[in-house]
Amino acid sequence: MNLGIFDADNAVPFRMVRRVYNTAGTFFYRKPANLIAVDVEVEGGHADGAADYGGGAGGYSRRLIPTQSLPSGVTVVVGANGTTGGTSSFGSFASATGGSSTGAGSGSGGDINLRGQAAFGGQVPYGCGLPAYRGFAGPGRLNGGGGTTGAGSGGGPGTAGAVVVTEYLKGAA
Amino acid sequence: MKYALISPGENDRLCQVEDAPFPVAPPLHWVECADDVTPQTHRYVNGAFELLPPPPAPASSGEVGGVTEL
Repeated sequence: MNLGIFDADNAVPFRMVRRVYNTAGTFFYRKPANLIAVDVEVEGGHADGAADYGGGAGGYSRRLIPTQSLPSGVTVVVGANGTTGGTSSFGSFASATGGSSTGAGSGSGGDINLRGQAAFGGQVPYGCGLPAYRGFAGPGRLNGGGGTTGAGSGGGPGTAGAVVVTEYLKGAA
Repeated sequence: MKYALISPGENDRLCQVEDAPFPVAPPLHWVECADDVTPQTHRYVNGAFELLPPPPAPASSGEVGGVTEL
């Protein structure tokens, strides 16, 4: 999409505002009147760690949306951490599912859709000098990551997902 | 009645269950399900929910991955 921003002959003065939603819950994004476009990044919630596994990371999706394609408001959902991480969404434009103990989430709807980093671990053989049941958590891209493994005694919590909305607004900064 | 979020791009993974659906990007979609369906206990196969098989019994404390501690 050509926004005219980098065209010297037709340059449009603009400024950027970034809105970050990184706590689990449901929010409402209201479109400003002078909006040119939004660049939306969505990450699913990350899974908690378990006794023998770290938590998998949520998926990721990114989409550039021109103002004429946006309604006046959009429902924003940030997925919570948990045994299975919750799905995060920017309306029906871009979504990313949450991670789990055995896998990672994935993105959908975006110009770019990526799988999260899966966790792995469990059952390191005796004699390696490492505790048994040592696993590794999946790191997130926007907000934290999966929970750590508990090395046989329960794991740590993952973090919530995130939705980052970068607004391109008409007018100089 | 609840709603299950299905991800076709992840082999019809049952992602989560909610009391009310929220907007998601295709191909993600919501399917009505019974109140007892959860991602930990069920999977979505050929348009129906079925119980997951029970997890295998944990190894005894003296045996890990088929290797017995000396």
